Amino acid sequence: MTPIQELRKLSVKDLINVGIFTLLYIVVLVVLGQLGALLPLTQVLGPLYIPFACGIPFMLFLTRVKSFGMVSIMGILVGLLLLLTGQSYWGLILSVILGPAADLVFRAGGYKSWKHTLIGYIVFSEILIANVFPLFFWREAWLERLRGRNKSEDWINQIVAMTPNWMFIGMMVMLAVGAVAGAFLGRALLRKHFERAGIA
Amino acid sequence: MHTTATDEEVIPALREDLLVRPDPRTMLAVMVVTNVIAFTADFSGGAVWARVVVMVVPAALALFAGKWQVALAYAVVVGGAFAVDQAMLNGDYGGVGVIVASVAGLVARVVPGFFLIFLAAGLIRVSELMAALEAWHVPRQLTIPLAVILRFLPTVHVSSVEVARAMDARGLTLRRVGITSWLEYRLVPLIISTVRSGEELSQAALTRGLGRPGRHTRIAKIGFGWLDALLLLASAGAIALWVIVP
Repeated sequence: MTPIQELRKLSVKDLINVGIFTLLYIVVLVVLGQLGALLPLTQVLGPLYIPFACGIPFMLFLTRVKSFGMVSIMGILVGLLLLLTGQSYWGLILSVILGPAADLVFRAGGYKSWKHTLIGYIVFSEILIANVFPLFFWREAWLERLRGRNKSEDWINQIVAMTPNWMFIGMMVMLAVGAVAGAFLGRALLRKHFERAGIA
Repeated sequence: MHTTATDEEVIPALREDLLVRPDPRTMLAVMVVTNVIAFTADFSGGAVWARVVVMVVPAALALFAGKWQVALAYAVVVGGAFAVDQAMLNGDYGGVGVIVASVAGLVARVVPGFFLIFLAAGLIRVSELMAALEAWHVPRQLTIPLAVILRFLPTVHVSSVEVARAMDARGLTLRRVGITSWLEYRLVPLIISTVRSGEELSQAALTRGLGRPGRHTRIAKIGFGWLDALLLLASAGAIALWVIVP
């Protein structure tokens, strides 16, 4: 079957699972993301710990995935949510590309291979790089906005000092590292709790 | 499903009996406008009034739904945060001041949108959302997950409060157990209970024929009413204030 045929054939149960795990992923993403916005350091470290924590629901989600489509839909829904919560529309653009791309990686490993799981989750996590596009590509406008608010010069200087242009690549690497760590965390918890509880 | 029993207590405006309720599409549009303005509008001139409008709309909607306590709590929290945020604009604060200003700014930006989503979860029936999305020819691969998200948002909220209470009662605080264990203790029970409810939902949905191929008929009535007109007018007004007024 081609990927598109698999997408068409997804059962209602699959789609309900997509909804549930997308919600869990989003809850972790939004709660941690907003907490991170409180301090310059935690904001800059976000790409590291967000995919780490999101690895818990994501790895459990993958145990439910047997065919193409579920990961793609989840990616697109995450992109839609980024748009709905006022993040850059690049989130939606990236999610439409990277969601299915990650899905294809998982599919190449038969949704079982650990190596493909790691790579696929890295690809999926890179969707989140869209959130820092304004910081790097529209930096002046972004800083102007911060100045217009209650962020002090000190706060802004800290962010600027921590984010030279090469940090864009740095953040992509952080997302990848966080994703790998998150995948291991998710797998460990899967074995420790979810299998025992009979839901993995 | 055990979750339905607690929904009534938690969803602020679970008023499906209201005769006039907003159309799901109206709620989606209002949500987008609210979040876009709350997250991206500036902090001076007309943009401030646009912010005020998108903060007032959810409160008015909650009042309309007859949930005045919830509306009042929302107004106090968001109004207070907005006042602090505006008062501390442009100020150069150190230490605690920065944290206070950040938290106030965060609450003022995030809470209106979340409150609206919460209201939507109480005011919109899942069947109406499905009907509205079908009218837009959105494929079921997206409508079903979206409906599940709307249905489960309150459930996840209830469960997370309950899990947090249980962990606090056992003294498993962030400071004592460290971040990784804390995540584990908070997330694992939450995920397990949500997934269990989800499995029950799957069975219920299949029993009711959601898995049947082809086009389904619906009895959910959706349409444009005076409440929709008011909500959209307020949103359009907010955009106008933001874009036109300097």
